Amino acid sequence: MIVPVLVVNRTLEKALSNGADFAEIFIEDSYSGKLSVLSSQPKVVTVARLHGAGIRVHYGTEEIYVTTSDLTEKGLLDAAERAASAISRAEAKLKKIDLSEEPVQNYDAFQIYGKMPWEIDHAEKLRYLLSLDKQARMKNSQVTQVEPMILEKVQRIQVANSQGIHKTDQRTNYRIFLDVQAQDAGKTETFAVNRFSTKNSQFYQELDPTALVDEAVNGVNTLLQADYSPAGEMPVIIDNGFGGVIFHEACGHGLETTSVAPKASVFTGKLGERVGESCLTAIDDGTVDGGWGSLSIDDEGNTTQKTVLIENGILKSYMVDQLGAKKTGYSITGSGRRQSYKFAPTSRMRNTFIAPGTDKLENMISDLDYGIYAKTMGGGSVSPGTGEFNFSVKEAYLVENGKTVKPVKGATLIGKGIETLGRITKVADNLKLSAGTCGSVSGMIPAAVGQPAILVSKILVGGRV
Amino acid sequence: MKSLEETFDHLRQVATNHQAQVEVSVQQRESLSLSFQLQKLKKYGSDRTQLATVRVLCGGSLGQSTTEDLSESALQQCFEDALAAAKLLDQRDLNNSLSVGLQAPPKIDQLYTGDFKKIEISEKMKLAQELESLALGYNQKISNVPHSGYSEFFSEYTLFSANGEKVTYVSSGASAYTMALAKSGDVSKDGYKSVFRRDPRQINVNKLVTESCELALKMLDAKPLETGKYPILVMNEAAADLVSVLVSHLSAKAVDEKNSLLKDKLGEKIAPNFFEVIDDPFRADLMGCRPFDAEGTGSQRTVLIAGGKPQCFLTNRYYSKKMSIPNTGHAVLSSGEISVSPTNLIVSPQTNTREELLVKYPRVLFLTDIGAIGSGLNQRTGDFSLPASGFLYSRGEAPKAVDQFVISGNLLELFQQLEGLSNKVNDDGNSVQCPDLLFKEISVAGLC
Repeated sequence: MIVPVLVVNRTLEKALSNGADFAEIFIEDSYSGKLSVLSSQPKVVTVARLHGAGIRVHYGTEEIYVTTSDLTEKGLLDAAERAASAISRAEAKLKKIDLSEEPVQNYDAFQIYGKMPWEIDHAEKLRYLLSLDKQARMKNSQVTQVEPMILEKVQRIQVANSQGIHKTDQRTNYRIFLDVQAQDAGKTETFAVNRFSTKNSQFYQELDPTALVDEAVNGVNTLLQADYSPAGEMPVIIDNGFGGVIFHEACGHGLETTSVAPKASVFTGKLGERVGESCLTAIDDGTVDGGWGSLSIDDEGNTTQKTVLIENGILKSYMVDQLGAKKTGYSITGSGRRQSYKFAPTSRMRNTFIAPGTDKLENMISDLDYGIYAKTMGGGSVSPGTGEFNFSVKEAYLVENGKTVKPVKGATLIGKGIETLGRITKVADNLKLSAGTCGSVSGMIPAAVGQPAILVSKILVGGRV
Repeated sequence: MKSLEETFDHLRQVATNHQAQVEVSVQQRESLSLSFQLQKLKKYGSDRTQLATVRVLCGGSLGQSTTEDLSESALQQCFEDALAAAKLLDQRDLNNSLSVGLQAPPKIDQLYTGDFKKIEISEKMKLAQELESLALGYNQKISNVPHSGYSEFFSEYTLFSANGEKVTYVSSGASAYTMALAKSGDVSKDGYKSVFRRDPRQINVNKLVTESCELALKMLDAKPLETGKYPILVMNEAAADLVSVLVSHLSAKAVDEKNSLLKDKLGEKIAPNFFEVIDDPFRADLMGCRPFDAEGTGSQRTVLIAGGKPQCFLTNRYYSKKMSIPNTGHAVLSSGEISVSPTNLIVSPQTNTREELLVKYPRVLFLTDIGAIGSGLNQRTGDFSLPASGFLYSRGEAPKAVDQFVISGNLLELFQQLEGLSNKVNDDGNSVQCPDLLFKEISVAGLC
């Protein structure tokens, strides 16, 4: 527990004192470490400690959100006073808050902790990064720069509200990135790979450095041999894992009540309607064991769930946070998330993926006369209001007459969410989840995307003309 | 409880005991944000946060650590984290140093116009509400305003030097934004505009709303574009993003880390003679204004590109020493680390009007929006493939709205093809002020 229950009670009482019908406090104490190596030398070793609280009050669906980095009783009561006095909406009244003495602890559900990041010798981590640098340079003499990096975060939270929720949680995120740059015949290319874990520090022991280096160096070699992608509308096979970013961008954001409630999503009002081919089932699941987006509780203290969004092409559910539930009447799905106490929570994705089908990737390629096989995807973005999305392709191959004929680079895929969903005509059986970082109104959060390989029968590929 | 000054004096003593030196910067920030949706208050946000960054020089290496807890014990822990970090880094790197001999910063008029704090909250609420209501009432095809809002901030940055000196500056500002969604049948298009001003009374809500609504409405008629090569005129606001990416390659940090496309290009022609970019930290009307950088180095006006040739790299203390070039005072604090970044970038306009540039070729693609620069532009190679939208101008015909296409090319090759600049710079208070840019030819992938 970061703040004693007595102080939490007083803070919530103060926040409600102007007649609000709901008050919540989200307290955070986080540790973030970053270590990196550049030009074969240790480059960065930093530690950052985040420390503060966000206090939220509701008058119906109107929301007041106040933050402070002063966690003393005085600091919290001042912040609660700011929240209470922000607007006058109702008659002032006193409401007694009496939360449980001990908050419910959630952090054994998904995570069994080994050593904390600060308990592992930084020098050991730097040696690990230096070894990645050395292996990458030894593997290929064309490698001109290597930047391996470790990011580690431990977030302790305490969330309490006027409806009786009082819970604590602890989340750990470990990430390793390896960025390799190589040159050949005057051309420079770069390829980045990563590994993520929400489990314990055993992550470092379980990592396979050779596989990580191979993936990065092979990726950059492929790009050095690649021509520019052809341009125009064509069929595209998007492989499993991070390929799921297409669903995340094209549809996922439009299924969050943050967009649905104000009717700012193309999916508003379409529950029960067909939005895709019958081969398409899509799920947002906060309970996947070890999933990058898994949580015991969301950032509103609600237990996370598995939410089937689309089943056999029919829209079944949205992702619903507390305020979204108030605005739409749908049940909470444990999807209230935020980057830190500096952000009010909104409905967000957790581990979002397309369920496996029955097709085979190799058959999809052999059946294709002409198109692109997008093996590894990059980032992207969407406008939920118009459904228009874009995302870049990191590693791709041109397919001709059922065979991959050469690597291509510089492809960006653009389209419209619902239109593209309707063009997913094949779904393979090789489901895989991949980790990423999702940015939206409540900040940057860890979220996994996933899918088996899919065939989009027609999508605009932006390449060179 | 000790004051920050007393705590810092104590840390300096502790540092001396470890044969080290310490400097601390503290940023304190207060902000207010207001937004309405469907004519009801969507969010009232009020933030008060603080962040201390402790930098410890030990031997030749510099360790850094940050905390939001300004208590004596937290700062002591932060010092220990930074000291431990310093001991892990290269002790032989003699380019690290801490700030000494800090000068009182020059006063920049209008950087802080804090009297707007006294404006009644009801007036600010009215402004925020109008950002939505005016848009909804602008045209019946405006079906929704997914995002709109008003925000303001007050910020104080203080640096305590290793010698015990202290310098401070305060700044304030306000911004407003509106995204209007226009709908006709099954087609929806959005238009987004934002503006930054030092004083909220300078925000022209009507202009902002009109521009965002007009953009959304005009795009409702957008048609697919034929794949091919086109001359393009990039509207000033979108052009500012391209210039920002180009100038990021003049960062000495990027050069040192072998990530710069311009590392060997000082004095070389990368664009026509008329292309000139100046970094001006004293323009208080723009977002990037500051009297000194994150390391306490006094700000200065720097000519970055003149006659189409890069003139210098942006530096801070470390890279200035390492590369034996002048310190241009461009240190910034980014996620608790010192980095190098421009302040305000000013691209000098020319005399041509936008209309004149649009008829320079038989057909010109006028781009009002270029998206996904973060994911669709490879910073290491300069290759890009970016979604865009705008209007196709063909001589003798009315301009046609076009969208759902992708422009592709290479950043350096693009600026080699710069043909002209308009006389119209963006007026959104962004830290990049730029006219429309006309490029001779670009590859466009469309739906027909």
